[in-house]
Amino acid sequence: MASSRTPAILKKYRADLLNEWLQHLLDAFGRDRRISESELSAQADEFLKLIEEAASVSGLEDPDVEGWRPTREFLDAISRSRAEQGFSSAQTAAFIFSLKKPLFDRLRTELAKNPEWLSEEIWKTSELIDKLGLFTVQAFQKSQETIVSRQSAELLELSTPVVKLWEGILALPMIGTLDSARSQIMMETLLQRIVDTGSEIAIIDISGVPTVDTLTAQHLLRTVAAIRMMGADCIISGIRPQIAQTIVHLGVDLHGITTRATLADALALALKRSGLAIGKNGN
Amino acid sequence: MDDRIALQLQEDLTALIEKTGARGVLIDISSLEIVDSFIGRMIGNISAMSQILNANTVIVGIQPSVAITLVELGITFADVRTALTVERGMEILTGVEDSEKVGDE
Repeated sequence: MASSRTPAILKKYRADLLNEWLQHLLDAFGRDRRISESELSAQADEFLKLIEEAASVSGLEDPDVEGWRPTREFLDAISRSRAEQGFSSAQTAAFIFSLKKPLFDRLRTELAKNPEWLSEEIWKTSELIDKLGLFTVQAFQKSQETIVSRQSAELLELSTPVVKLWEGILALPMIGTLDSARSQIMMETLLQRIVDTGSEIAIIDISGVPTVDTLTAQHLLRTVAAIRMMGADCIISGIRPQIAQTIVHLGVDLHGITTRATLADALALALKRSGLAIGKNGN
Repeated sequence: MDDRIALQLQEDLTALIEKTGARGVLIDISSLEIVDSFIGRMIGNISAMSQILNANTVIVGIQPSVAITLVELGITFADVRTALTVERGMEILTGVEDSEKVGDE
């Protein structure tokens, strides 16, 4: 089998290819502010350079071999940045697929006298671009998954802010539903902060918790038990009337746990226990 | 801390309390990172034994992971006093008794 003509054609027409391809890309991305023309042109140029090199060294058949590794890494990086910029997978794949038309045009003019070669080259390059496109979409999806999982981890962390109210007094304002995963993180963060700051009193404020069921109560009780075990004390505040009713109706035993209606009451109690008092100035 | 060491500690501590007439015991488990149900029960037992020998016991330095594990295991240390740091533990002991003795992990 004759060696492929495509690398030579890529080399010969690189400037033309780049221009034409860029035109296609600009038609697709042109009015998009997320990516600038110069950035797009730099990426296209880089990509042409990489495939030219890889094609002449490792051939067109299999883009999974070592020679294509720089190209794959480049596509990986592009997909990642596209995912972060918020492009869709179709837009990301279009970057690769829009190279087809300019490239096939060049192949046609160059190999017009030899239809057999032409069809073979078109088949090979088409296969190659399809594979690269597929790879791009996969990489794009992978980056999107990482973004989603990172965001959900951030959300979990954001939802458990432990704040220091006073020397030796920590507060954890809970917002949203308490499920097992959240309460586990909440417990760990709070306990760690208690150790780090040496705080003796922790206030868990549940004003932002819409409903309390037996499971939620169970989580709260366990957190309080763990805090007690470490030698600190815990006050639960922000219990709304409905929640107080629910807790009693559910038969949850909060016996031995200090509870207060509002965070202010809880802070007052915590200050009192720490031997501190707040009075009006001048009194 | 493995089971054998825990049992040894139980022997040594009770013997020492008797010998020295200590009135307070402070157990620092801050370097204990992993507990199982046996160790958890042993810690509770050792404190209970010291109390019987008239030595107040305070356990200090329980790590978050240890506290979580013990709670999950259903061990609550109901009759054991705990404190965050050695200093706080000593304050509790000296507050209760004038004389104190330190027993370490």
